Amino acid sequence: EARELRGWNLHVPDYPGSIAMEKFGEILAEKTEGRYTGSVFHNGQLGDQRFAIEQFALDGIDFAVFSGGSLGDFATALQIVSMPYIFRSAEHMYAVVDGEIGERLSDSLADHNMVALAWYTGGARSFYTVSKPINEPADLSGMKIRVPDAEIFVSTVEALGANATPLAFGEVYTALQTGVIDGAENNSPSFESTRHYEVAKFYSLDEHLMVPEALVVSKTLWDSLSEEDQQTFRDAARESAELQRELWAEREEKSNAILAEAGVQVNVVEDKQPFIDAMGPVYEKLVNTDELRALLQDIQAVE
Amino acid sequence: MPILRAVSRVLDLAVWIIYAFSALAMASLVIFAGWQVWGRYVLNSSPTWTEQAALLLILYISLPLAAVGIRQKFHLAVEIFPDMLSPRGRYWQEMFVLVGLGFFGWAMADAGIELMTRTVRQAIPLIGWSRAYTYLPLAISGVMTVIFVAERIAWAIADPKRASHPQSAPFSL
Amino acid sequence: MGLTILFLLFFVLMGLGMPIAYALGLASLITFFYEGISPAIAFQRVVGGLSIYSLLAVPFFIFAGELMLRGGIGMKLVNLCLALVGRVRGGLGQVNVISSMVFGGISGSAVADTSALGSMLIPVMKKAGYDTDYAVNVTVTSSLAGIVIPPSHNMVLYALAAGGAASISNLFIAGIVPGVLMCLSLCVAAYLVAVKRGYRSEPFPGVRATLIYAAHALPGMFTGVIIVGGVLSGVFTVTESSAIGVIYALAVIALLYRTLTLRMLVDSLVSTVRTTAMVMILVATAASFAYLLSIYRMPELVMFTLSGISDNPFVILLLINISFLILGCFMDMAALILICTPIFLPVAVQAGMDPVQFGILMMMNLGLGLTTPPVGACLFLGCTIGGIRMEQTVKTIWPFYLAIFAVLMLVTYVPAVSLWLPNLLLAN
Ligand code: NA
Ligand code: NA
Repeated sequence: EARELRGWNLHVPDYPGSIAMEKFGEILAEKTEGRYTGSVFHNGQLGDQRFAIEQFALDGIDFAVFSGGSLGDFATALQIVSMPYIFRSAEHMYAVVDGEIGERLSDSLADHNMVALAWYTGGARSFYTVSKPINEPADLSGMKIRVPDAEIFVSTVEALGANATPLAFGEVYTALQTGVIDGAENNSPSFESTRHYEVAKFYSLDEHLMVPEALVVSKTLWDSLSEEDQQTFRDAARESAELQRELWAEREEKSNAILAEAGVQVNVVEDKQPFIDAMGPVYEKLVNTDELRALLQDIQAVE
Repeated sequence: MPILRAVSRVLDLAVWIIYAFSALAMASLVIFAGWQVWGRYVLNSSPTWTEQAALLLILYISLPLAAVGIRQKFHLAVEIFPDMLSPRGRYWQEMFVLVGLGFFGWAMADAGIELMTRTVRQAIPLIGWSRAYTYLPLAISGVMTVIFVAERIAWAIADPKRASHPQSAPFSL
Repeated sequence: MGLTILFLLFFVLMGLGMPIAYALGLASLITFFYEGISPAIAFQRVVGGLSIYSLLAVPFFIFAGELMLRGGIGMKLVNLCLALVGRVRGGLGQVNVISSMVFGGISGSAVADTSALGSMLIPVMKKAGYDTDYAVNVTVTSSLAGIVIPPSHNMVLYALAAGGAASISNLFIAGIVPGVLMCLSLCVAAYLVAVKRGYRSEPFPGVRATLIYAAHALPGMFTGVIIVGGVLSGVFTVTESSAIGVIYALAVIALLYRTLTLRMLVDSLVSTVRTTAMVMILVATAASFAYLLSIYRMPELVMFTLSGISDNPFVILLLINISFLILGCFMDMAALILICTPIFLPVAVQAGMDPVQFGILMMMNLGLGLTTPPVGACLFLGCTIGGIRMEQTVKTIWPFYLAIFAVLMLVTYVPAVSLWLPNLLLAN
């Protein structure tokens, strides 16, 4: 009997992750000969991230892509992947989540009726500002920086000496324009597609956050699968993650070209150490269990 | 009948409390938003808790009072068909609607409690309270809906002409 | 099948007199059971539908409007308009329309407009020898200005339902030209009927008196300017802006009008939370309903059906207008905005319409529904105030419908009517 799986997605249909999710469904349909098909609901139609995570426990959604940060509000182990400057590079992040640590993170989601099958990239978030580039933490001192409504962002930005200003995403453009805020932070595709670069001309690549995104399926569904089907699901997920990472890199390149064309001044932060040093209190406050401390050590040990 | 009248008087009090709480909460909402602006422009530091607190408060204003609306019949409804009915038809039409509302209220209370149980160990970002408080208003509204529906059904049976229904007049504090 | 059950249940429950919000909720709940989806999700959507920060602007608009009304702004506006346009033949009709236009710049709701100005002007017009049907018709139709001219809480609801496709700032600005056009065309209709029935005009009170009236009315009218200006300049978010509007309104009636009493404050608060609960429960259960529409891929379905009928954008837009007008006759505005936006917006965009223009079109269409039988909150209220039966007043309302319909067609087929001003003011 054919079963149509409901997939939740936050982004617009032509986003790298969205295309990769559709691909996941297509591979499943093909490999299981139509016994399982994926039907993806884009744009957060079925509820925002928090509510969607809750719907897993209620068996309302069968698969989804959630950012590690949002999952961290539910499963504490996941908080570790959204710590600032925790990954040295994209390669480091992939090595961590694709390996044994990825399995441990997936296990921690069991309480919330999820199994993480593969990991997408959420890109690297950096600061963009209106008046001057950021080369050292002192440059941020006293600036009003827009952050999403989450503890980790507020703590990180405040540890760097700026004023964290939680503001709805849709308000950022005018807020930059009118000087309500001095800057914000995001990955380059978002910076570009929101046209925030029209009003914030400095993009400083400090890459403070590199948060992986989990492609999860419902544990109820997972446990009902034969071993063979589980392998099919896992392969499909891996393949879709590979596609997403490729598409993301392409998308980043495209965005960077647009930013360069628009005369945005992009500067790579050469010495990240002062930024990392400033994170002491954030780590002290948020890495506060033995489980998190162990994960931190293991992540740092991955080559 | 005297018992029913006593019950209704207790419910009058409950309604009064819900209104008083909602009115105070509404005033607080204005103050929160004003404080947010004040913080940003005058103190040069935005309070980070106001948005989440306001989102929580609006649930406590809207949902319990929606149940009161069933008692006071202030919700929008289409009355074309009911208006065409004979008094007897009207009586059964109202019973039907009340039973439907009662079922909805029961399901709401049930879902509210389930959602609270599931989320009790999670925290609301930036204010740190348990997320169960987000779903508590559902449970309150559901329970109050069932109670108000039961009251209206009891009055309809006890007094089909509804000469002495306690809530025919609009409410004022 | 599930989709049929959902809509059938909804219309049956609503038809049987269940409050619309609960008919939406119960129809959704039963469909959740039918699909084997946990009913907890139906209620999680109820909470999710309310957990949107800009939605808070709605109670603040309502609150600011309540305060201005109880603080006495209505009479001050009417006096000013009487001085300005009373000399025209059938002057009180003109006063009625123009007051609505100005009041529309403060209030976000047509019902508030009808109750505020109607309860003042309908008795005055009757006493001055105008027919009751005329007084009610003018009051009811001109109240649409409250929805179309900014600020408007229905536009906030639309912006939310459109999921970011149309910004609130753009919608606010886009409403100005159609709102003013609508009032002007209603003025013409009111004038023509007045001439035919031979109504008289009002004397001019003199320049000095006019200036005094203006000085009285302006501080109150400024409430709307603050709300809209705050949003447009980006200095405040829409929620903050509307809260500042409340604080300003409080200051004006306390310090300038000196009509503020504790009793009045409490009454405004009680009335505000009651209206808030009415609107919010509708928003909440509509979110459950919308969840099911998503699951059944309703927007794609409608798109498919409509494009099967015709691929001519002209025809598709006409069909959308007709659907809205029919739906508006039977249902309330807020519920329709929440349900219809996700269904029809993609179709309209496909047909080449801008989401902002579509928003204005929707406001006018569904607003018109408030003035039509059998279900029209404004019409019903106007008839109650005038003490006239709906059948009597509707017989002579057609010149006014025609006036609004003409502007509606302009908005539908001439994008510039709604988009010229926002493009001019919010370039880049
Ligand atoms: Na308005
Ligand atoms: Na109507």
